[in-house]
Amino acid sequence: MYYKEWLRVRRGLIVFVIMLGVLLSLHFILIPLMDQSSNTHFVIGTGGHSAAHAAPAKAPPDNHFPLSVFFAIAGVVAAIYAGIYGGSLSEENDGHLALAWTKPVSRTRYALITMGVDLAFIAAIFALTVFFAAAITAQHGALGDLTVDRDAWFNLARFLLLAAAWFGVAQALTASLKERSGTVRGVSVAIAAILLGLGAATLPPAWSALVRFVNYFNPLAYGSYSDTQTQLLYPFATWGLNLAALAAIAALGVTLALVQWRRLEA
Amino acid sequence: MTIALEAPAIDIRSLTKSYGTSVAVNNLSVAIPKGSIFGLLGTNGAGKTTTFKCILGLAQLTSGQVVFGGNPLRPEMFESISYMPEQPALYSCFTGRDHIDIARHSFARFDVARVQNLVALFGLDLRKKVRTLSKGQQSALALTLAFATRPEILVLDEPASGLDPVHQRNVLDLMIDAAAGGATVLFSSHQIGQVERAADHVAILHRGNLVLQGLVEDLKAEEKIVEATFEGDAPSFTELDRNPNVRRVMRQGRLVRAYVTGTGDGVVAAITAASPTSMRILDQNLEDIFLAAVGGK
Repeated sequence: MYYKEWLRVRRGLIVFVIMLGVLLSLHFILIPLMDQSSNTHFVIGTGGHSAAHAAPAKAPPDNHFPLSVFFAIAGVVAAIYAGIYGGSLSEENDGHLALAWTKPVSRTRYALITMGVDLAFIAAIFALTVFFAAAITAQHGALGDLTVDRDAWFNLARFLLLAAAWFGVAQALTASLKERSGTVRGVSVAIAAILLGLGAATLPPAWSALVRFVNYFNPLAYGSYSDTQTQLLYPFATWGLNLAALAAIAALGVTLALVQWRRLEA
Repeated sequence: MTIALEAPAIDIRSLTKSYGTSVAVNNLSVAIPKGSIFGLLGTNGAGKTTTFKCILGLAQLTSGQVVFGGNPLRPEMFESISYMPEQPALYSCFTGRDHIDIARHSFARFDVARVQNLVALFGLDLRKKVRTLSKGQQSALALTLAFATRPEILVLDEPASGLDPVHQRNVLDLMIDAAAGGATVLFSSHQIGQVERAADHVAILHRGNLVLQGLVEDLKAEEKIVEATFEGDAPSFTELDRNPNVRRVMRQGRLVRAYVTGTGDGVVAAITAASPTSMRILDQNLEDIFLAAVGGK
């Protein structure tokens, strides 16, 4: 029953793998040339931030970097794909319901299969991105500098859940739309980013409280990364609560999308 | 004519569908016998497509009920019910082959040999993406999918739309063949000649209301045209407007034509009294019946 969804995500996977392959090939070709010409090194610092700079011939004393960096990068890429594939129910609603709803499965099961395949695809994108980041690191002979930091597994769960939460938000916002689903998803990213910015700004207390409350439901509020200032960056004080909040946003979004989907008419 | 003792394949009971204050289908009750080919006729906006959507649960009924063989519609029943919408709901980015494969993975009754025959019949190129197919080819692909499972119930909304005359005939043959195999076919068409050729039952919708239904042969036997010619302009015959057996009166110069139900004896008498130069009583074809039913008097 999920064959159509498989066809859809298979195409996305092929495009993504080709894109990674091209980037990796370019990297293999260009970086040695750059090294020869300008003696430039990519250095991944202890703060988890990647940077390129001209360095003296002697390497910095400490090049160790945490595994969580990989998860942060993969989380961003997966969240982008979550935003794109978060319109899958809306796409069905745009002229295909007569085909979708005359299959021998309930509407709810059909939607759950569609969203389940999407989420599996997003997890695959996450895994491929981590693999790609590891390949680039290995190309630089820096894989030995990788350290499994204390929060690595929390960050793995957090960034996977962040993509899932963004997927849920996108589905909830678009499930009942026939057109303009892409616009709504694009605008929602901008609004989420603005809310995140407002959360860091100095506002009157009432506004500040309102923004803080709204940001509990904003997946981007859970997406910052720094290996020096962990807990302070997130809406809740503990890892468990932040993970639970992201899972709740994902579940709520999927539920709201299902409610809309069941009430649609072809 | 056979007397059906078993439950109708589709029993539509007092179906009403409103969109806001607009009533698309009003209190429609129709029983579609098993093994019949049932043509649903109506002008644009008569409520045919809305009726199909309500029957199949694609639109929610405002009131009423639809049952299949005595049972309310359940999702698993789509294993043996096929629907071809007026606008093929195909995925433009997928090929014909993709659509066939999707159906093969979705329906246990999917019949590969049947599909191969249908693809050959319609001359489909399954390698092409749907977006590159013509309207007729898209309809042919949608028909292939609809017939692929050898369903027990086929609901086809304008199945011949966009097809060339050869494939239009093929569609009629497929419907007749399916009904001969025991399937029930419910379809709509603007081409009344096709309906007359294929359907054994018809219902005519007009502005959401059922205005006529029955066996095609019975309707044709019941409905007559009384046609008379006069020396000068034909009289107005206003009294015919009050006759409940007169569906429509058409005057054109010296000619008057009355579409009547039953024998038309009263109409003949009224026209004879006006001394026509000639008069004859004709059987109506389905187009005459349709126009009389939706055209008013």
